[in-house]
Amino acid sequence: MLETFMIFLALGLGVLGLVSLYRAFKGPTATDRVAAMNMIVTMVVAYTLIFTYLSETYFYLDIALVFILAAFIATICILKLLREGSLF
Amino acid sequence: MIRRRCGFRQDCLAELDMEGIREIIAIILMSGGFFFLTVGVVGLIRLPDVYNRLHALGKCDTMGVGLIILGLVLIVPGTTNVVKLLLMGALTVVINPVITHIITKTAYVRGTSLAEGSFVVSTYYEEEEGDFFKGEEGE
Repeated sequence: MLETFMIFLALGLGVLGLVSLYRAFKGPTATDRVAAMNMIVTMVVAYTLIFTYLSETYFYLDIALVFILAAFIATICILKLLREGSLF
Repeated sequence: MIRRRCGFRQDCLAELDMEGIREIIAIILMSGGFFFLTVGVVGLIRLPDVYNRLHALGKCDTMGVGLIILGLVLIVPGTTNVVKLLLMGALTVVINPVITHIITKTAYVRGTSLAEGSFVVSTYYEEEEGDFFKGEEGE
């Protein structure tokens, strides 16, 4: 029961990521696209955790951890570029 | 799916029962997390403004991933994996509101126009910049 539920949960997370990709495609401003990217990053992290449990390869937890930190740095860099015009 | 590491039949039955209860609680928690993520995506698609979208996204995102991680903590074996998952939950709880705040502040500084019928209470930037929300309509 648990494995079936988690397979459907992974499918639902993929569908939610595609739906939020619509906002990244059609957002009127750049900050909309950054927000949609943040949502997609969240979906990818949750999907990675579920895939970790389903395939029983637990070193993917480190990959999800690094992915959270890298997405944080990337978002801050994009917002600094939008706000000040240059990164450095 | 259920990992039995037990010798006697009585211990086996007890462990099976505990595993079943733990799996049911995990399924309930992860269903709640998926519900919150769905609400966040619906808000991201249907709300009319950047600020409204971030209002929907910043809370539902944190709550959804936090509940999914809490559900996974109950069923993942090993202390190391549980500690890593809890660290990831703490990082998500700290990082997601910070990102939401920075995106909103950047949209405000760039002069993104509000939706129809909404207004600003704070006049923090009004002395320096003049009419702040007469800027560009998107880009």
